[in-house]
Amino acid sequence: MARQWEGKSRGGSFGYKVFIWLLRHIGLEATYLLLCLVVLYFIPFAPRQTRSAWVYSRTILGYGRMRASWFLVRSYFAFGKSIIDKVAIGSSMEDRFSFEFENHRMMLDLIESGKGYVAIGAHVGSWQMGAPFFGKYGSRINVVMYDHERQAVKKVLEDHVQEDSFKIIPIADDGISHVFEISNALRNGELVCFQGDRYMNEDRYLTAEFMGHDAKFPRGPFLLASRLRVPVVFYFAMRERGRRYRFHFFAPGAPGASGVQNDGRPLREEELFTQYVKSLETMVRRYPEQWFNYYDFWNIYSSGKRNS
Amino acid sequence: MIMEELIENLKKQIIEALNLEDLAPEEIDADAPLFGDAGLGLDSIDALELILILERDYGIKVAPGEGKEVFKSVKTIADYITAHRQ
Repeated sequence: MARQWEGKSRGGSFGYKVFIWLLRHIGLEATYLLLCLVVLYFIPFAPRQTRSAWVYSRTILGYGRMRASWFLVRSYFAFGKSIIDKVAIGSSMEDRFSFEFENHRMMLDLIESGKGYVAIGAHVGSWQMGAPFFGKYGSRINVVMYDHERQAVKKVLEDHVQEDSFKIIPIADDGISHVFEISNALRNGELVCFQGDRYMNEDRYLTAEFMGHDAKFPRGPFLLASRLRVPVVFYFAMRERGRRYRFHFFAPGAPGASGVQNDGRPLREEELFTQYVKSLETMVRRYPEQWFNYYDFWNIYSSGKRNS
Repeated sequence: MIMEELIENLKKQIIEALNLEDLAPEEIDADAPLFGDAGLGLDSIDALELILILERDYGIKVAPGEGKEVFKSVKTIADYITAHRQ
């Protein structure tokens, strides 16, 4: 079995359509309730995802069997809520949520500077929850995405809910066209968002110890930000109790000067990467059930090693 | 700078930027595709280095949508530089 992410996201456009219909006809709370049934369905009928979540809770988080079983439910429930909330926000239901920002001023300074910059997130929490807030400041947002399925999901959202406040730069089949789009967007003073935790190119990755085990990450976002000498922020939107989202912005490098060292030089790729992994680990330790990489991220069982 | 000289310079810059030191400039066919299996087999990260060569060494930014055509081969890059250089 291939260890790396295979370019498909679970759910697809049908799942989104169902949630959109439910939200409109039975309301937010009732949709969360129905989600409980979906979670019970997913545990046996999505065996690959369930296995990855089980191994994550047992081996990475070190949970016992009882706690890991309960964790499976919580993890799927958190994932389902992230989808429902994303659709709710797209349907102008922002007033049903509350939002807290950490390091907000730093992010606003970057946006208002008019410079192109890179935001690197991950498949934790729900980064899309922040799009309306970035959009307010008139900065054009580009999100670099991998698979065709995500574009299909985007199409569904465009058809059913208000216009999204971000553009998608798809990873091109020819392997290069997106680089020109990314470069142009940055040079035009736009924001380019990457997810720094999934790689597709077997030859271009970086390795780090993450959550106590070695893991591979894509090299592209870190190299690109460093070589194009643009400011960088790490960005995570995490769900908390009471329908509250907390936006975390981490600035690598010198305080107040994201993406540069104390002497003003741009951070090197390795330094950006090291700080990204550290920030991501901080998030995953604080919100372990919002880790949504449902595959063998740490290559624990795909290569024939021990299964827990 | 005449075209031949420009192509020669570009080949040297590409070899240096992409760490292709085991390749001599004369081994790169100016008309051969840079990307894909047929030519040098460069990838997306190499494309970034080519963008930087144009920006840094020639002061040229490739217009949106033109990247794929411009970076087809060493010759097409040289043509673009010639057409856009001040």
